[in-house]
Amino acid sequence: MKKILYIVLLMFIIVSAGCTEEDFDSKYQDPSKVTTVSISNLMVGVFQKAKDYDTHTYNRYFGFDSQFVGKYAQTFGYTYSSSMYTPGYIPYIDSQWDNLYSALTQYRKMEELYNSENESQKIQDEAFMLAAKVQLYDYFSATVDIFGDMPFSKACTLPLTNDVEKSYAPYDKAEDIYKTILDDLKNIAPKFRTVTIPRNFTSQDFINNGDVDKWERYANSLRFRLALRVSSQGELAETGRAAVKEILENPDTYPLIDEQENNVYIVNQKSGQLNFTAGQGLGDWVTNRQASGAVIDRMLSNGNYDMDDTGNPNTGIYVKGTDDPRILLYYNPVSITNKYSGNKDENRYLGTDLTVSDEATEYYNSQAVDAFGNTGFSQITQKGFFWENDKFDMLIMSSPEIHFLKAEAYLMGYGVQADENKAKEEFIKAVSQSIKLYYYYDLNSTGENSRKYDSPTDDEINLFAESKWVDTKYENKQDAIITQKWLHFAITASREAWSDLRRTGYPSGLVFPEVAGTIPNVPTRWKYPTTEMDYNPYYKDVQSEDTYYTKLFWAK
Amino acid sequence: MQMKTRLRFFVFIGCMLAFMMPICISAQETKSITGYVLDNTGEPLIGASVMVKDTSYGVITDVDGKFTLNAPSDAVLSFSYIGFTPKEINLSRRKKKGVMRVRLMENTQELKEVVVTAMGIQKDTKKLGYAVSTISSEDIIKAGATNFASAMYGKAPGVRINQTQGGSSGAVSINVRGLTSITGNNQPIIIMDGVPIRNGGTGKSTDFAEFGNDGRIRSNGLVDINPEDIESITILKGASATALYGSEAANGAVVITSKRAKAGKVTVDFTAQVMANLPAYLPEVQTEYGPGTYNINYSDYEKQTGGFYQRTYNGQTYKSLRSTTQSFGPKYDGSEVLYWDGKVRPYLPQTENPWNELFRTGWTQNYSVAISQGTENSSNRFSYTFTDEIPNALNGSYNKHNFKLTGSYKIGKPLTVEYSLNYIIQDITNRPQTSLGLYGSFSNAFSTFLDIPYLKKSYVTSLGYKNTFVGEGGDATLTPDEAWAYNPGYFTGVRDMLWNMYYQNSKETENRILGMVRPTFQITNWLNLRAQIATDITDVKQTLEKSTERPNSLYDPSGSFQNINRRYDIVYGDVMLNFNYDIKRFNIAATAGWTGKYETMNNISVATNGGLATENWFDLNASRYQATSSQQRMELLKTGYMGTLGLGWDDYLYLELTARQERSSTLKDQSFFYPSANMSFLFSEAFKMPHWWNYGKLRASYGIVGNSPEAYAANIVYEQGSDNGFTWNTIPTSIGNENIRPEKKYEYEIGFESKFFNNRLGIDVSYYNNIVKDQILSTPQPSSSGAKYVLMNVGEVANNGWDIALSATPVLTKDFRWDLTATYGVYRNKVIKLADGVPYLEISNLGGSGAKIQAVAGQPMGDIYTQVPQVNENGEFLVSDNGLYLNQTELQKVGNINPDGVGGLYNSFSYKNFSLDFSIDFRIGGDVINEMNQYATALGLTPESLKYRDTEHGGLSYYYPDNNNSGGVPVQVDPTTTAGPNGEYIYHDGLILPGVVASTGEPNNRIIPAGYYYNMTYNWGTNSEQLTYANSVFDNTYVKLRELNLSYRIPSKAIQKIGMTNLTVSVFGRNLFYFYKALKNYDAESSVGTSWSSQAVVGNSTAATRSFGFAIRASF
Repeated sequence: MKKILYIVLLMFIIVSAGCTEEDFDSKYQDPSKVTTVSISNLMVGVFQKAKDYDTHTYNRYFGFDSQFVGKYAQTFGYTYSSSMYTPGYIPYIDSQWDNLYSALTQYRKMEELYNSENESQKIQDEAFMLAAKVQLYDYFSATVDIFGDMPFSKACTLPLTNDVEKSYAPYDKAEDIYKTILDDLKNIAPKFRTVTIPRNFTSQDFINNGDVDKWERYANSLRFRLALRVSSQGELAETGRAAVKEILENPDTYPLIDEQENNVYIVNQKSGQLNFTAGQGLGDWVTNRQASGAVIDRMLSNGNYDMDDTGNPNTGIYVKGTDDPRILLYYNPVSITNKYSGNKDENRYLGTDLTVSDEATEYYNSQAVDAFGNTGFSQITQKGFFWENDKFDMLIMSSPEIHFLKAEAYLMGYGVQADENKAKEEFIKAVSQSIKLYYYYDLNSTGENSRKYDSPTDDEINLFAESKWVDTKYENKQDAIITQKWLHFAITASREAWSDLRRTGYPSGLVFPEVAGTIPNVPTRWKYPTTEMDYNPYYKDVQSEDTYYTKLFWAK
Repeated sequence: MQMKTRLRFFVFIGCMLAFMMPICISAQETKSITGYVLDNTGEPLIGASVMVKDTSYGVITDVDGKFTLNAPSDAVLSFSYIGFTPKEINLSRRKKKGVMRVRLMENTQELKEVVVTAMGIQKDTKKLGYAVSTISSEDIIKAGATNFASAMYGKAPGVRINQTQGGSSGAVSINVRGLTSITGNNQPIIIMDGVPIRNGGTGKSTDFAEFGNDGRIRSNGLVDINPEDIESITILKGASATALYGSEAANGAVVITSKRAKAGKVTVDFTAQVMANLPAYLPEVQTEYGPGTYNINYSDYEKQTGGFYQRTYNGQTYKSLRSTTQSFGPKYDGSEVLYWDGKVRPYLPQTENPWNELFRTGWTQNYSVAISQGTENSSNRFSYTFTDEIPNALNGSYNKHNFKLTGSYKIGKPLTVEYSLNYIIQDITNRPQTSLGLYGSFSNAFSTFLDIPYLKKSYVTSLGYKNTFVGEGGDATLTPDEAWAYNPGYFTGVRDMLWNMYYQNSKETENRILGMVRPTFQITNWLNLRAQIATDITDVKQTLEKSTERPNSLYDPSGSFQNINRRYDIVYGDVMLNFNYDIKRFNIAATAGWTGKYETMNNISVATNGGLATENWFDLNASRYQATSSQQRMELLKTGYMGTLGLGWDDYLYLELTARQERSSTLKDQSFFYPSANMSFLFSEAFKMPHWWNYGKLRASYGIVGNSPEAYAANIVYEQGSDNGFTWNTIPTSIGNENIRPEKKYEYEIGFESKFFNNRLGIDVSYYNNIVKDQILSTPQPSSSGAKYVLMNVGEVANNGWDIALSATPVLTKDFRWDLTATYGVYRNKVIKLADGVPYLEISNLGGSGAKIQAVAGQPMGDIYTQVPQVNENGEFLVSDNGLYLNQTELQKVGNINPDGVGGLYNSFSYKNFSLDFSIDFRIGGDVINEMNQYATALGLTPESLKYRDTEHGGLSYYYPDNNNSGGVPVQVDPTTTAGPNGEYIYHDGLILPGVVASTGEPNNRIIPAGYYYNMTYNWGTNSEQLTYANSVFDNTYVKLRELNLSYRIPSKAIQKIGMTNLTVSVFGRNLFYFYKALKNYDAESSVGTSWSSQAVVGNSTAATRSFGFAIRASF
């Protein structure tokens, strides 16, 4: 009996003393998460977080481009309602904000690691730092364009310090953020020429695949875009113009994305995490993909199909040789029974128009039909050149924009001497490159409904571009440049189009009726996410400015 | 040897006596005997039993304690009464003649009830300083509950049961005394025979039972436990009762005691039970109007025909119906229309209630056999239970084998070894799917114009692909002749449901083994050492085979194959040294021990990627792209030292102190202490009480228990992913916190229990008050801080409430007995604070922020928020120019999900060999968000949406000037008007929303069509200015007849010959009907999941059932 007693007591001791600290510690950590990270992997982390901003996929096309900035720029169609200035799905605006700060958080961690490295390690890791920063600045500046002042210099410390109180970040002035980015980009761009390119930089860089020439052009082009944006007016006008001058007068020091081959984009890998479908999200609601009458008006010589019957029987018709050939790629024409004449009008481009009566809108929306059986207004072509084309690259920055920027700089004499001839030259290059780029994607499209049109000849394109330079429908040459840029951006970069509209007031003639809803006029900025209002104590500093109608510092 | 011989001798004598007795009785004449049964003070005992010994003949005393019976002159009369020592009087030895006066002595010993408390410690109930509720085996198995939890509805005060629909494979949640954790676990720990077992929840991806959202109703661990093997269930509610479980005990504990063999010869128990489960409480669909839109959107043809739609098919034009999921179309009139099968049909409802076509009567069969034998040195019980279920869903099967072996051996004098082994095998083909897709989605909704029998025949083509339709949106097909004429818009959901049901097969096999060995070493008669080691291993294999939907020759490959392996193991051990010593009137009971629990999880899933390259080949090699795999792992270790000290004085005053020092691997370098104290005072023992007050106790307790963070929640870690050769790290947007502590619940409780009138009336009342501090909240941060959420100990939640239980035996005669128990639990909950600067926390977000469930500081947990119309200073609604209400910009509180009280009423009548039992349970208050109602009304499917649609339903008559439906302002006319002044069409579906026009301040007089109102007001999301979920937030009060059981016990005489000791047949029903139900048109329990927020949403469920069953129980 005693034996048993001893055995049992021994058991007690063994079992209860059997768990050491080590046992607890080894089980504390999630085995499928890592505790150490590398700079190279974090750079890809930054790219991942910026992906929704870069790519033409769901989060942008369901809620952002089609229902938010695309409405304010009128690059996307929508019909009159008292809530028409309310974005379709606000959570996607918030998610762009969240993703931006998550990208910045990744970058903060990179900085922390980088600063703790010795010199030789730093040399190895510099390329990652530079590329991550360019991408981050692109995303950050575009987000500033929407919200204005933002937490920036003191933002995103929580995961590094775990100090909740100190993690709340004050708001930097939009001007200061721009200034920092402009100055920094100037320093960053040349470094790409000398930077050591580690082997894994090429394999990790899913934007430019390690092509540092492209990165340099991207950095310069971004600086150029931002410099020109602030050149028109506002506190940074002088800074901006100086940068424009510097870039344009030293093309060898500051090479830009001049040609299609310089374009910066993410290649669609067609599987896994880099599997994108262009235009995904347009399909969810018909109202996400309606053609804008304003766009059609500016692409066709006879304008958008006339819903109010003012007498021109040729409205909505594409005239080859005269009209913008990109319209064939952008939208589906529809067949319409005219409300007044009862005639069957075939092959017409019918975009939404906020100036016609609700009744006419309703009538045409309910009976027009396209070749694919879609009822209503002309739509962005499903399975066409853009939407559901697996070969459509996820364009981040492309050459037509650079030439539009140059054209404007020369025309307006921002920094450089005003020179209309140079402006014209750049304008024609810009329009030509835009048409060619989009026809290139149509030709290579995997979309079932892509028409694989023959691209217009160089002569035809030039003639078209020349005609737009002298088109009297424009208020002036700046209107021509901005309008053509706006048409270039119509489907792929509505946020840039909106910024141009706010900066210059062009394209001229866009009509934004006042409505009775909670947002009565078209906003000039967007309000901060509710998480900022609710949880950032510094929000009170910007609260008074947090309206839909506060203007960005560079806005007209 | 000596022992055995002695035993045999007794058995022999016993048998001899048993055989002789009847012979003796039959040899004697009978005589009438009258007498009184009194207690020791001379007061009559009412309802005392007077039996002729060794017969079933006897009587019950009346109000004066008087009895009269006939008995043989040499019979032995036995007198008994609960709480009194029985007495036997041999009539032949009785000297006194005349009226008998029998005095019974009160026997407190008889009242000794033992319950199993925390750590498997058995305790005399009178020593308990806290509330427990015990439910016996009989109450669990009587009425066909497929698991023990759903048998507990309304039977324990303060315990709320919530069973998911979906039959035997659906989850059940148990909630004890309200909600304690805002975002963490609210389920009690389940202890079976002293060992914690796996339970888990459903609804979160981290829950074991759940993996991915496969749209099927999942199960949790407690439903595996076989009700037939349960002897009793004790629910430990308060903090003091469960403090020994430390950080797992904030939500109470459910302690299950398994059946064991009783000493005696071999007994065999057999049970067979068959139950039919009829789909019930299905939502009604209106049968007056068919598909179509409201008149604002009418085309000219629709204007002319009152809503019909013109269609061209094979070059011919037809009158038809619009392609839409809305049912605001023309009234069914029997006219000829083109149906989507390409034929012309009369325009009439195709089914009265389409739901009947989508569910069938389910059947549950349950067979159980248990063999047990106990001897002096050992006891063994083996049981086998087989359950087979045909679910209500049209396809699928469920069966379960349950083997259980329990027993104990005495090895030598001091050592007893108890053991238990439970092996459960479940095969589940196609778990029931949730049907939210059908009820609550715009694109999948369907009307009564859908011919489901025809669809069932035509949804698959002759080549085995999903059928389609011709025209826009239709898929290219190899069988154009079989394709439908057009897409009506309203069949997609049902077609896909049928396809998913029959062509996306899920096969699951779950093996679960629970084993336990427990040696107890009796060192001296006042000291023993007990150790136990137990394991709970669950292994699940699942294959998911999704058939090829469309020909690979025309499309990218479709279909998929997935293989999932899930494993969850618990190893549990404890050692306890128990001390129990009496020194005169003083008793000391103490324990010291150690406990450890180690849990591991490993889920692995592999799946094809990009469709099946070879059609319908279900294998990873069929994958078009490289197959994908994923893994989920978890390890958790928790240990604790514990001790208890109990002091008793003179059998009426008891004090107990407990303590646990705990260490958990979910926390970094931290250890926590959980103390408790409780006291029990039996005033009925301490003081002289009136004779009718049999028992009285006051109790008080205080304790601290916890709720630990989930494994890995506190980790500061990075994500890593890779694809196409790129590898990335990211800091997650939701970050951990190394300093996180367990949530701590501080609770005091006071209680009172008494028994009166010879224990025929009992009452048990508890009041508790707790505060749960250090709520572990993933606290929202501004993203600009670097994270969206950070784990923090911030919130505080307080609860207080009453648990009341009443038991009574209002009638007790010789043949008839009525027992009644009633329970009621009421509690108040309040979120005292969340994190600093955090006014509210979003718990769930429905319909794209259209409705939210939030925890708001200062409010009870679970406030429901949605958009609501603006009101002016006079309280009138503001109406927009379009005739619809104008919403406030911020969401407003419209309800709260917490019930005010839950309870039940359990009645048991027995008359001779018949017994009738029924249980009623009820819930008072607490709101639910009815998503199904919201969307079905928006589409005009609910009977509610008939209102205003025509003159009979209160609709106003009007026309649009110049038939300008979309732009014109409607003009009201008399219902008898046939045309407007310019020949305009007259509509009769108008309504005017009461309120004032916001822009003018004038009373609203804008007529709007009913369909427009429903479609705009009830909808999804937030972007419409008039959209609200407020009309779909309902009070969910109900009173339900949960169980009804009628049984007949065959007289023992009749069955003794064939060696049976018991044969009972019974019929029963479950979920029979509601006495009252506030939620119209839906079942009051149509929620899914075990989390409190998902239970507040009606939707995402399947058919509720009403069951009828038949059972036979036999013992040999």
